Amino acid sequence: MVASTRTARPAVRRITLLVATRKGLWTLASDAARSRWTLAGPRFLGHTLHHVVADPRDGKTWLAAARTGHLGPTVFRSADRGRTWTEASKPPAFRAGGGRSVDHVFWLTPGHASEPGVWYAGTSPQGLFRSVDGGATWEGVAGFNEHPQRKAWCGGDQDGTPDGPKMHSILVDPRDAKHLYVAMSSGGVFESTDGGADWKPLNRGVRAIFLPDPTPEFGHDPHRVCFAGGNPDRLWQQNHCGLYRLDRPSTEWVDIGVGMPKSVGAVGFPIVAHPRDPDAAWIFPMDGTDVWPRTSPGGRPAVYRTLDGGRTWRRQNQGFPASQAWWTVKRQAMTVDTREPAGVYFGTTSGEVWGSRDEGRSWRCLARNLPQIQAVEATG
Amino acid sequence: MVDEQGELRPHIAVFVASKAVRDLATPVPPDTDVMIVAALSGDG
Repeated sequence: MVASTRTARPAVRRITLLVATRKGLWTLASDAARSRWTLAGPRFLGHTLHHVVADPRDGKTWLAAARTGHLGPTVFRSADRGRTWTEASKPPAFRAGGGRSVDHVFWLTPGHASEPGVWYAGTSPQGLFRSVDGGATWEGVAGFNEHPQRKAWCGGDQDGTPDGPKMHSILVDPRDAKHLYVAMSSGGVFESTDGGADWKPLNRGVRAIFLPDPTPEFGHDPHRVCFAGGNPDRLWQQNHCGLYRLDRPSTEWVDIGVGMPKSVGAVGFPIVAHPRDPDAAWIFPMDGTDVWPRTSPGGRPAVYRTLDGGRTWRRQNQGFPASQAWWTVKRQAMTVDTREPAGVYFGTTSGEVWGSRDEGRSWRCLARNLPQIQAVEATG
Repeated sequence: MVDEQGELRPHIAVFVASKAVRDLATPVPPDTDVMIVAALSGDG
């Protein structure tokens, strides 16, 4: 007798990309094969959306960081995957009398799995905010915003990136809700082990060639920091001054830009981790020979992938234009999904979304003619 | 329209009796028109 068996298959999940642009929010929804994509939008037409993020804890809450023209910075919340939205009744704002005002909310991070409803927001100028009610009301994290060293760490508003100094890459250790990292352009990477009550710089080994002392304790310009997939003791960093990897408990970043071809360089904005392989990550290099080009080197766009912790990088450009494509990809405009094989996606400031469903081997344009893309996030 | 430091946000204008003011403590005499104009400038 032959036993009847049925091969267990993982549930096939469609992917939705949350495409935040300078003029509003669009979504791209895939079929199960991730081959057909349907564009929908705009939502919030006319608002600058810096980051729209889905909550992995409940699968239905989306938060949107918006700069609403003359009415200022705020956060919108949807509890039904973007069908309806409610504005925060108390958006992130600095302490009255403190002299600083939030220009825009730049970054959103869902809190720890054990703390449903908790979210973190990073602002321009640099500030850290926390919500415990799913984004309806926000309080400053005093341990950072009121830290005696805050001004020294962050510098003045003229010391940041051209569109405003910002806090980004807020990371919550999946093993410990009180263990946090943040990164600032400028300021550097900082760590807290007590839920944000106190912070320490974490920048050893990272260059800051734009400062008189090229190896200071803080003042660096990290463009993006993320956990390695499946190993929160490993951090990847794309910096103004190259590529780095940190393996905790070490506090010294290792230069992993040396394996990049000299003609391409090791400068870009995003770095994204493979969802499961701690040795794998993708970057989108841009011309860093001067601080202003920040476009695909030579007009020949390519993603680079490492499979060995950053020792070597391999060019991935199948499907991209071969020349005269001067793409810029912002720091939160590249992402991965959690499917097998992983999908990799990015959006350009020229309004194109590109995707790969085979871990970067081949690429297709999923949408074009959108406004300047600020952020792309994938949700299942 | 007002930020956390009590300042009018950029691109918002307030007129008291047709005179532009930025100071929100400006007294408003009785029977005086206050005009608030948003988005004097837009995005390029």
